[in-house]
Amino acid sequence: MSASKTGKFGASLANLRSLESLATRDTPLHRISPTIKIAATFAYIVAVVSFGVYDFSGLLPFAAYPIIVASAGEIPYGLLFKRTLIALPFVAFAGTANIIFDRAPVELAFGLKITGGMLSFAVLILKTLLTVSAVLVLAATTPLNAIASGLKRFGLPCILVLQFVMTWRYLEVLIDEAERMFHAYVLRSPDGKFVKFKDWPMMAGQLFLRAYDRAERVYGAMQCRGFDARRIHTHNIRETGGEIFGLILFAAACAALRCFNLSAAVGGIFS
Amino acid sequence: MISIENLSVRYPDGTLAINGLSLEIKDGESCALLGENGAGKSSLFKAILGLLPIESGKIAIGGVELTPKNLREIRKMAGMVFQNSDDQLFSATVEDDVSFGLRNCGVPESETREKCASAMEKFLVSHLKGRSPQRLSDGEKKRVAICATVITEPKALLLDEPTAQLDPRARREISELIGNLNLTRLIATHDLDFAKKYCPTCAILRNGKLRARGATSELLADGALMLECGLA
Repeated sequence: MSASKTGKFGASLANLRSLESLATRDTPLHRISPTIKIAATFAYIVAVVSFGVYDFSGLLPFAAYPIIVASAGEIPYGLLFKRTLIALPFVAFAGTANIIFDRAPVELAFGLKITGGMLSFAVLILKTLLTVSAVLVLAATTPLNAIASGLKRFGLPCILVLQFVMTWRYLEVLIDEAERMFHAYVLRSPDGKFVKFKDWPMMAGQLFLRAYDRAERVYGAMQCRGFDARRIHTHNIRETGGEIFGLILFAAACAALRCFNLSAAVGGIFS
Repeated sequence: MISIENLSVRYPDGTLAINGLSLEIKDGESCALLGENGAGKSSLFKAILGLLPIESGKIAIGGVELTPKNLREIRKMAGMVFQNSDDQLFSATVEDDVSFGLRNCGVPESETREKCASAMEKFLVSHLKGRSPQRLSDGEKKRVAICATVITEPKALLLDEPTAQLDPRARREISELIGNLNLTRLIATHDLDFAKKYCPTCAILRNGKLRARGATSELLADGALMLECGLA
């Protein structure tokens, strides 16, 4: 029991690092300037979230983007899908209200009818899947430091870039400390089960204090090696003309797909 | 190289960690810093690198006094290898961690990569470059931590318990590695054999004060002193 639970911490850490290790690969996609990839992701997300609450068919062509990028970036589809699912429970919970309150019937293709709430719920889920997978493919094709460099190039204040980088780094520290505490706990708990409910507040408090202390020590080590929060180092990045042209084309394609319902047009041909 | 004059350091909770300590480490000297747990060895290191505020006294490295204005220069001149490598290594890969200091010093990326590759080869960690530092053995972590510290070419190196938690072979390898570094070294250790072999001089701390300073072989032979300082 405890061994399997213990393994979950290792699995969490491995999961956390899996995207980072994918980002260090060398494919043509990985070599594209991070600025371009961030801008493309942003354009894509804006286009996806701008769709209406019932516009399911309009969103469908956008699914091609994460699939194509995952394929070009050699990102395993299974990993991408599993990581995308993490956000779904929260969105599904928020979207349940749609199903309950919006009961007006809406007609779909081929004469099918469902309630407006069901359709808007499906649109919400699809939007989540698309936007989260777009961010994940960005993370899996761009190293963390490169994303930070790209954000800085967009003029994001240093403090926000730093916060982004540190939050990601300290997640590992937090999981590592949680793992140590959990090991110490289960080895001295008679039944060797997971942390008892009554011990959660104590464990959470201790975890915070330990992670804070450790983060202080890590920060000290960083300072010893010349780290200065006011002058966060980022790579000097430049975009090529071809990359900028590609970005313009991509943004134009997003805009075109936003204005023109490709799925409906294709459906119209066959109906 | 390292000059400490009448230094006192107090922790925020009021504990006096260093109490009026004066110490001089010459250029090229390899000095062991000995003392029982809580004697102030790690606190002294943190104070030298400006990680702990100084209550009174002066610290200077290579003639540059430690002040908030000079902190960056001081940290360029002196590197520190932490007792617990997990506190020191935090990047996603060994390669990222080794190059961290160079990037902070503004070294161009191509030069950083070159220096990083050559340092990793020198410290025999090239084969670990894509690995996560958290998942290395203690000996490997220590090797990477030393490599990551000396890559910025500091003039002085502070090592906090470099051979602690290592198996005999790793201890021997790390000891030899440190012994071959051509730098001014101040090494806090409880490993008296290591101190005898690799540090011709030593300083013994007790209750935050300098209790003895001199040739390692002579001081370690003083049974009464060793007993008094919790080293025997």
